[in-house]
Amino acid sequence: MTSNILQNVNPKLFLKCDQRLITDEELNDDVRDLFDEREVFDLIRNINDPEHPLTLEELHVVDIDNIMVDNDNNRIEVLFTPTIPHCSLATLIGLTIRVQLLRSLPSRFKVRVKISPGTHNSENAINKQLGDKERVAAAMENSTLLETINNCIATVEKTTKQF
Amino acid sequence: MSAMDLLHIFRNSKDLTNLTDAVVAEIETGDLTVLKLVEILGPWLTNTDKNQRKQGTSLLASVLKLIPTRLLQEKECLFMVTFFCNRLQDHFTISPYALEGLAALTAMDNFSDESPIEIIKALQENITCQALTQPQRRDIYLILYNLLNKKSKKISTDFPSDYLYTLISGMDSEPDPRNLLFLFSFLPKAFTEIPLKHLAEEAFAVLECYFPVDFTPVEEKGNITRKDLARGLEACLVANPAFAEYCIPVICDKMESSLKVAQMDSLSLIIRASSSWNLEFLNPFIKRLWYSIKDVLIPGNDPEVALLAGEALTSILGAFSTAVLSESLTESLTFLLDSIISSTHCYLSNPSLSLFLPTLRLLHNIIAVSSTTAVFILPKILPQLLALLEVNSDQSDVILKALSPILVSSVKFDCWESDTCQEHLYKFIPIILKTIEDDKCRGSGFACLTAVLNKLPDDKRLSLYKAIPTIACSESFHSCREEFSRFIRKLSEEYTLEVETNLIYTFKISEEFNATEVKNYLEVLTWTVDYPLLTEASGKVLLNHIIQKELASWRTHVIFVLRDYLNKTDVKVLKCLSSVCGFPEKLLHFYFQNITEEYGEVESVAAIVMRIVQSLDIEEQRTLLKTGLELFDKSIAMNDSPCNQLVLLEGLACGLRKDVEIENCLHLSTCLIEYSITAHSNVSQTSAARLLAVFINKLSNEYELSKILELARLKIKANPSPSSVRLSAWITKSLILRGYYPPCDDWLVELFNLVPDPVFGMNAADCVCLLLKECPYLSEANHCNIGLLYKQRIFQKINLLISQDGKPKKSSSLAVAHMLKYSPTILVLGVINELTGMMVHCLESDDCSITLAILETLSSLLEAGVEVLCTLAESFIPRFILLAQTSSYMAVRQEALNCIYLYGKYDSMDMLPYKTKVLAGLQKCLDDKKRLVRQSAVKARTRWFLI
Repeated sequence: MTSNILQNVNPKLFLKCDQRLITDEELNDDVRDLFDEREVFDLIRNINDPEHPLTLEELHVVDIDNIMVDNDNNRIEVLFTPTIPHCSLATLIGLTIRVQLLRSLPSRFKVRVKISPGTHNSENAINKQLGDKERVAAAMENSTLLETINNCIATVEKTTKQF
Repeated sequence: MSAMDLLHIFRNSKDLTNLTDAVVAEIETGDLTVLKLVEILGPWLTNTDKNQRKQGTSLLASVLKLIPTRLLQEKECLFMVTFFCNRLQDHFTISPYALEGLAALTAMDNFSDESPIEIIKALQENITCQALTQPQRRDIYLILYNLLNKKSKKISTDFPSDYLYTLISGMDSEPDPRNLLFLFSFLPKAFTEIPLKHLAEEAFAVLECYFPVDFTPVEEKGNITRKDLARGLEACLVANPAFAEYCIPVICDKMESSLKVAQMDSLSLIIRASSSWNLEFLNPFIKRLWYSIKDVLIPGNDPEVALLAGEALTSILGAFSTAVLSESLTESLTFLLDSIISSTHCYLSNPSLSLFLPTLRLLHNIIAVSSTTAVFILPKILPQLLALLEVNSDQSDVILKALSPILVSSVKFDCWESDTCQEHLYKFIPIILKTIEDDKCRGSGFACLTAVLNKLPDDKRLSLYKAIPTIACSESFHSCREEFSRFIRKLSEEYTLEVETNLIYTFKISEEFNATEVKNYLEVLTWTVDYPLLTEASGKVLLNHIIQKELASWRTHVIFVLRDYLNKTDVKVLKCLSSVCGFPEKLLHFYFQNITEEYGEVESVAAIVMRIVQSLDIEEQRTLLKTGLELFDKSIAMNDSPCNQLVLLEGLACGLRKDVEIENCLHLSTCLIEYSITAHSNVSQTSAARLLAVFINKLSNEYELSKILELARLKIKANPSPSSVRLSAWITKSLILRGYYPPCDDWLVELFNLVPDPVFGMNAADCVCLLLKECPYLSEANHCNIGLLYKQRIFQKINLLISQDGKPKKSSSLAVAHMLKYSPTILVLGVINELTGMMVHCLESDDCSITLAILETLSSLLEAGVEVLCTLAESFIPRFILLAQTSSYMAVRQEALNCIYLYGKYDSMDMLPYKTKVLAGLQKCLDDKKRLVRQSAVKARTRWFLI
């Protein structure tokens, strides 16, 4: 999927946030922990960028402030920001985020993955692609594409702390 | 055996080669000579039938291979060489045996000086190596190898080109990895010792065709790896500097390849070449090499290639650092360094860009090569870094982190005295001093400060001492602890008296400090204890904070900090704390007189005392023990019931050496037996039981030992209680560790027989952990006897726990679960098939501790990748899924999910049949009510999707 010539040679790096601290409530078996933005962010922050050996969090492609979780209506919306407006890998990144969320969240949630408004030249087209269930399902049938996505997701496990 | 007899045997034999061993034996005993053998074999060797000639030559070659190398005289060798060289002209079925014979002859001790040229000429005239089979080609290489080893001087002076030509033409297009590896093992010697002359290009050409090595290991061909061949080839390619003019263009061509292996091998070759060849040979190609390296260096597509490219560049610069620089070499070096600066300059503009740190890392590696590179590079980058520090205050941490190793090199190469660097370097000092006031970049600030400590003006350095309490009390203390401790340690090492005056003697805990701040400040003080000249001063300050009434409010903190510190420090400091500061004695004196109810504090004091006592020698221990026991007796006499005194006594007596006699040991042991069952607190009971166990483990008097055991047995029988079960377990563990057979087996059986007991069964089951877990009290550090394989002895009795009829009891399941959890993996594997049913039963238990212990055992086995669990996946995976979905205990659900995750790491082909079931099963866990369980479920599910 990726060519040998890098599209963004020297992207800007951002600091990674610390591991989520475990609260007493989280250790209490009787308390129900609701899904929150940080939990969804932790699912996708360590996905690898297809172009660099850097995570989406380090490149600021995903940010906790761009995640909306509505537990009452079972809705989750994630906005991501490509590092450059003409990034041809934006669809792949969006698809990877979408696949990781589909695999990691309960099916009761309706998940939407979109590009942050005004951050990409083909924003509408990509949003449409990512919102189309049929097209996402068809993409998942493509073994080459699936392998690329799995390669990006494989790093999640290496960087996720096991409690 | 006479010649006639031998001839007769030969004639009667269908195949002469069957007689090899017999002939070798005859030659070894001296009954037969090789020349005589040739004479006897005359009818075969001169036969008109090629098969007969083949048989004779084959026997002769086999015999030569097997006889000792010293047996043949020079003339015999000469004769045999001529004979086999003639045989090379014979039928193609005979020449392989002639080669075999020549290979054997060239290895002889008395191999003649005149033979090499004869062999070389015969090979040149009669043999086409490429037409032979692999073993035959190997024989030719073996001949050449032997010639090189034995007659390299003769070859070098008389016929170097003939030898080299035979070698080069022989190995041309060699396809077999075994032969190639053999060739690569001696080609470097050949190309170094034999003058290449006009054959340099040809010699390089036969090697070049293999570069870069592209090869997949084949089992039939010796499982030689690509790496073996690549490293072998590399050594050959750099063997002679005459190859440089051919080699470097090839390297540059291959660097342009998109194949990673080509780039990696080329870079590796550059590294090897720059350390092997004189710089004069590299110099004409410096520009070309730089352009090739630059393409993969920064920004490189592949981090591994970029890293190796950096290494290649530094190795070239390293060659410049050791050479005498001529005008042209200086020009090349300047070109190289200028090019590096101009190519990397643009990446230093913004610290938040991804290439900023890799670029600075590369520049640091270049600076670290030599003072020349440092003095050249530093003035170019320091102003830029200085400007960045002034402008990007929020990125100071990143810049300082990269700067600290650069500053270390600058000090190492005395750049602070250089006219070009001095000005810039000194400008950093006020900035670094300022950064340590900032919480965000204090750690990196201290790293830089440690690097330039000797360059700090005295007044600036002295002013830092006042800031130490503030830094210790700051929130950033934990994030900068490592760098800060390194700074204080270096300060202690280099400015000892100054630290003593300004840090240790002025150490004062303010009333305004909170608990964490006090601990941090005390920790800073402990960093100075390591330096012999400061141990006494800082040790006394710490001790005063424990025993002086006016400082009493900080006592508990001092004890906890000191305990942590002593666990990490070495024996010398411990001994010094005892001999110079009187630590254990004063602590015991104080605490026995002022016994506190606070268990945590007393337990830490006991741990401190134990740690110091362990390090003392016998005499010191005797003196301390005498004083300690007197204090203990007094304290016991003053209090009705011993409480924390037993904990202190344990600290004092556990670490004693075996040769330290305990006065009235029998009486003390009797008291300990009593205390371990009847003492008021659980803590005292445990301390008494543990101390008794340590005594029993080290006691050399057999009579006293059996007496104590008898007393203990009677007491335990008379007082059945959880504490007597625990005492029994401690004694059992002590005896097993000591290897005191057979009584230890009796004690063990008695303990295990108690497991099904309806009243004390669960206590006995819990004691299985105690038996198998490592224990800091019964340890080698405490000079205890620790027998080999003691866990195996306990594990042998597992049948006592599982052989009960019918459904196993809860206590038995718990005992087995503990046994499996704490036993070595190898033991568990031995019984895992028999215990599968029991384990599955335990997984279905409603007792959380049983299920959890089994899950933890399985997870550690799965983590180790134990193969047998792959075959048991069908039994375990459905249970794990069920537990993950339905268990009401969060820890069980998490551990079950962890086991599923670990199964996901097994071979994909084995796990594929379970994939659908696992993914569907884990779907439910994604909606678990606990976040931590959901995290484990996500981790497991993500892993299984990759199968």
